[in-house]
Amino acid sequence: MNPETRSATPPAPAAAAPPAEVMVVIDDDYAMRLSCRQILTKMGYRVEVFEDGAAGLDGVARSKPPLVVVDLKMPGISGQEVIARVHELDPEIVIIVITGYATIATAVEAMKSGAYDFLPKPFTPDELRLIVGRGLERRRLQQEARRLQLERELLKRKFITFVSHQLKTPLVAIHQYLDVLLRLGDSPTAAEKRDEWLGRCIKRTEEMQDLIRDWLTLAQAEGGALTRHREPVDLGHLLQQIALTYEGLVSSSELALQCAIEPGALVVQADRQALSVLFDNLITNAIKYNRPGGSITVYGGEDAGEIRVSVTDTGYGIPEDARPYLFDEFFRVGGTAAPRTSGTGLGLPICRRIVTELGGTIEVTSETGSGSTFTVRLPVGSATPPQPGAQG
Amino acid sequence: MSRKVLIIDDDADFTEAVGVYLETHGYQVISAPNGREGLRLAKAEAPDVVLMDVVMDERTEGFFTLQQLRRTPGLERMPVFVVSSIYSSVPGFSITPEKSWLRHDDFIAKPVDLPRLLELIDARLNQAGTANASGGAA
Amino acid sequence: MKILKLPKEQLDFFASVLQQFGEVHAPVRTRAGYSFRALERWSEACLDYDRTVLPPKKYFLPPRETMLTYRRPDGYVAGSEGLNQKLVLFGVHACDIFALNLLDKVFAEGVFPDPYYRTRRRNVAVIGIDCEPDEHCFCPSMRADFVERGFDLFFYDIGDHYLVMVGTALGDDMVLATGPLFTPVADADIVEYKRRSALKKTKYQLEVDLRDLPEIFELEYGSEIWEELGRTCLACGNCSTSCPTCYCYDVQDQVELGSTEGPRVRTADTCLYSQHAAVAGGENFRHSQASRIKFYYYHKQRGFVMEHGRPGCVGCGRCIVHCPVGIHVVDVINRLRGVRDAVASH
Repeated sequence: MNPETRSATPPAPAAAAPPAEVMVVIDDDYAMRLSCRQILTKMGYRVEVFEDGAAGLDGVARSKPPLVVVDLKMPGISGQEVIARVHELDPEIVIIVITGYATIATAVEAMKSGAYDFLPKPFTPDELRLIVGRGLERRRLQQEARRLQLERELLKRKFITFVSHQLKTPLVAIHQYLDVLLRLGDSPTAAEKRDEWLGRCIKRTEEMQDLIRDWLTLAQAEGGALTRHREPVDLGHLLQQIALTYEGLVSSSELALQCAIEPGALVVQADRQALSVLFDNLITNAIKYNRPGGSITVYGGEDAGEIRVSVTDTGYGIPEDARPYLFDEFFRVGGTAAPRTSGTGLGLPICRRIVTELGGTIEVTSETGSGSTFTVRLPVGSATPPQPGAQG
Repeated sequence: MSRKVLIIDDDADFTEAVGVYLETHGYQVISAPNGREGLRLAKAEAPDVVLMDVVMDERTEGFFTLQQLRRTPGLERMPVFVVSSIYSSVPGFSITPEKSWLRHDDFIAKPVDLPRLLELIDARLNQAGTANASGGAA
Repeated sequence: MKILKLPKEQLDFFASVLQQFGEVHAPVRTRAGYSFRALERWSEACLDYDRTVLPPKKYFLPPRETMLTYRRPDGYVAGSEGLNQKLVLFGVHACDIFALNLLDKVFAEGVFPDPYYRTRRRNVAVIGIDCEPDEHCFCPSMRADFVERGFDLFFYDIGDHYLVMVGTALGDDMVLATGPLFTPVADADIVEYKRRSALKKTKYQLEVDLRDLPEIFELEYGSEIWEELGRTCLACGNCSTSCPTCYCYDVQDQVELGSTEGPRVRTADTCLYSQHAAVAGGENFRHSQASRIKFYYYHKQRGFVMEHGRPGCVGCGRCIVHCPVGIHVVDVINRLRGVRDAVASH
């Protein structure tokens, strides 16, 4: 797979259920089917009704609804059996049981078979609406939990790599240096090498500290802790502030940094610190992977309902076969003309995680030999932007 | 004539520390930061023994470099010690020298126990020495 | 058959475990195309290739080998170069494995099996991999798009994992040596495997009717197509050299004046070459190019059937890709059948 760009697009944050979703209602009572259909259609769903369990199961298999309303007492296949069979098709379908014969016993039995909730007839439209809403929310949370668990699994695996290789490598180097120095004792070789080697040991401990710091940042970003505190932030202002802090580093690296921010407020609803981490990483990369005499351009603007920020460098570019892996933890682009740089390998994963939590996307375009551009898109934030000079 | 050790490892500090230690014990040390360079040096410099790291630019680079080494005429029997910090901890991964067609002499975990390293190298080279003396194939 | 799955991201670990069993060879991209080579590093391996220039038969029927060295007056010493080398071929397509199974019929079975071929077959492990057909593939027509034997392991891509079928005890040893990286297959994996399998069937662009092909060839023995092809064909032999089931060879004793020893050398040969059918005395049974290309087709699609029960062709498409003058096997067959415009202009 050789995409020109790689987009890390998160699923759209679930607000209200999308109107086109199908609901299935199974009840042998004509009036009940009609009224359920009316209520659910008013909520914005498409509704399919069936008058017996067999037809209902067919319908479920075909339409794959997120939710099914079923009457317990029906001729033919009983409601209980429908519950069991629906869950065989898809264990995540929310099942709401309705019946005129409401007893505690039937309620308990239905729940034990896997129904989400139980609504005795007669019920008001509000009651049905409430239960359907709660059921769908529960389903969304279940799916979210599963996704997070998968991610946690992945992170755990990466953690093992992190500990067993990333951290262990500098530790091994320090150990060897110190061990050899000890064994060499008072020899002239030891005297000659001591200062240099102790200096290298310190450098490697700094490397470990960077790794641990970045790993913790990534873990925080994963847990949502880094993006918890949302407020309206004027990105244009923030970017210019960040750019200022890099002035010294940029000039000592013989590079030029320019900001091209569109006039007008570029407001996003986000955690200020998270945004700083995000753009710090991108700008640091642009400096690190650049060429002497090159430049870094930070662009910010509004584009079709989104805030777009891009960081462009004039470095060696990123080879196409590396792009699918670019945002992976500890991935390093190998075999290019660029000299191997230091770094933790966690910068881009952190960026991706922050952008995802903020509901945006990040992608890269690159041309080997001329440079790369990282583009972040974030949803436009509402509310009045802070006065310039206030919180910055 | 001092015996020559080739260290193939991408960590310059590790190479420096172990290399200096070996030098103070009378070995001549050459080094390479990756498999490709390592192969080139192995062919060009004819070391007596090789210390090969596994994870370099690629996770399994050491093994494939060893494979290339073994199919290079003249280097099939070169003593090679595989040195690695992680392979002892990858679950279920078993590379015991006897089972391996790939023929490496021993697997040494990092950080390296330096006196033991000296013993292993010494023992292996003496073995090679007697084999040569009695006319065994090189 | 044991079926397991392996995460794609652990493939490099698996490949280094394989090194315990032999030198790992896999398709590598070269200037000329893809080629099975010993790997220098895992990232060189290119497992989603269309076809290698030369098929894996080069490992079992080397283009040139010394069968024995004769030594007067002692007799001879059997050749052994490279015979006992343990190799693992990683990433062999089903059509090529099928072809090896066909070559087994010629060289490994029967009353006089070829000991050189058999030893190599024993010492070279075969790990198959699934593939994406391109516009030159027609293995389903030749019933060679799936193999149930002839491999130690077979890998099927199911997204983030490979579904792995274990074919032999050696394959099982490889799985055991890799340990917990192999996990059992889940229902979702089966669904995905079937989905991809069904999708693959729709991607083939070439089709040949195999049903009475030998008989059609018999009936069209006198067709003018052969003369026509004879005028176009250069007798370069690319088709045969790159064909995974072509196996003709020539054996020569290399003698020097006054010497008492020398090698008996077997070299690959092809019926397309002008001297292939020449015999001592000067008679050449297939002197014209037309007769040679006719023989090539006849042996592959008819003669092989008489000897071994099915055509030798596996539909890999190499002869199509390598012919410098555009002779297209499916085109030829369909013309013999009387099917017009069966193939988009090649």
